[in-house]
Amino acid sequence: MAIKDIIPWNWGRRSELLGREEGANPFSLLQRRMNSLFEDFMSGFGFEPVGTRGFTPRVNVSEDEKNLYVEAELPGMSDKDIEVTLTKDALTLRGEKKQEHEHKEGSLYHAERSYGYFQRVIPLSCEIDEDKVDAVFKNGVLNITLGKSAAAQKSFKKIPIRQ
Amino acid sequence: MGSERKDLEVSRTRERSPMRDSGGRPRTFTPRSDVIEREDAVVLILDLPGVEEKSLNIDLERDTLTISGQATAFTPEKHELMYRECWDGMYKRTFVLADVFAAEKVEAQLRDGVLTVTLPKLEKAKPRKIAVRAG
Repeated sequence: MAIKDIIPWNWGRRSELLGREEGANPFSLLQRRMNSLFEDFMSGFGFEPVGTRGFTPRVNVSEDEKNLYVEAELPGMSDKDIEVTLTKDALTLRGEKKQEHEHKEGSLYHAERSYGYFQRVIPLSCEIDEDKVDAVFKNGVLNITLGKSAAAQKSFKKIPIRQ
Repeated sequence: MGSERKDLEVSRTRERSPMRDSGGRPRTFTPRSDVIEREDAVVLILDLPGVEEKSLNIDLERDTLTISGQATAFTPEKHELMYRECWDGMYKRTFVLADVFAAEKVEAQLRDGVLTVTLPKLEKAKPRKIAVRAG
């Protein structure tokens, strides 16, 4: 298993990469289960050590001829809590989810939801036209449309399969 | 975690399942939930990203509160999928409540993919302060 599986800053991760990981290494599933067990155990304490508490939002990445699309699940965030940065190679989503106001008035009896800092770097598979990037936050989902550059659009070719 | 409580049962969490949708069977997910206790009410907070108000159902039947909603529009069919962690599907969770809540005064609000359900306590269930006399 990779070193990143046992280092704490990756413990918020819950994605399953389409089931492939389990086949590759029989211990990775066990490691992941242990990680979630620890995370569930730790999250009941109520304190928030700065810098180590965080989570990883789930994302979908898809494309068509003209655009690259990124969807990220960020329930409970407002658009001003999220920062989206574009570089030549990657799209970075970053922000902080604070615990809601209610938590201060009452006592937390059962906690499953994530809060804290998050950062997700999504490598871009092709060249993007910087002026054609649009990000919309709706129903707790951040939808980012990245327009491909003219050169990238031309090289997106579907390969026909011959019989 | 914590002691056994009788006034609110939280259904067991099932990790969001990446089950294969073979045969077109719909996926169901258990939304992550926080439960907060205030003096006058218990508040449930559920993560329901991608769920719109019109597909949200909140049913209170006898002592069971059922919340469900359809998450839609993740990655339209016409897109080429490159990487997926979010699926369309049904979020559903039940909570069993004791009769310490004023059922007719339950309030719910869905905002930014988060549902907040406020269950006001009946007067008889609110904590009463007992004066301590010096003896």
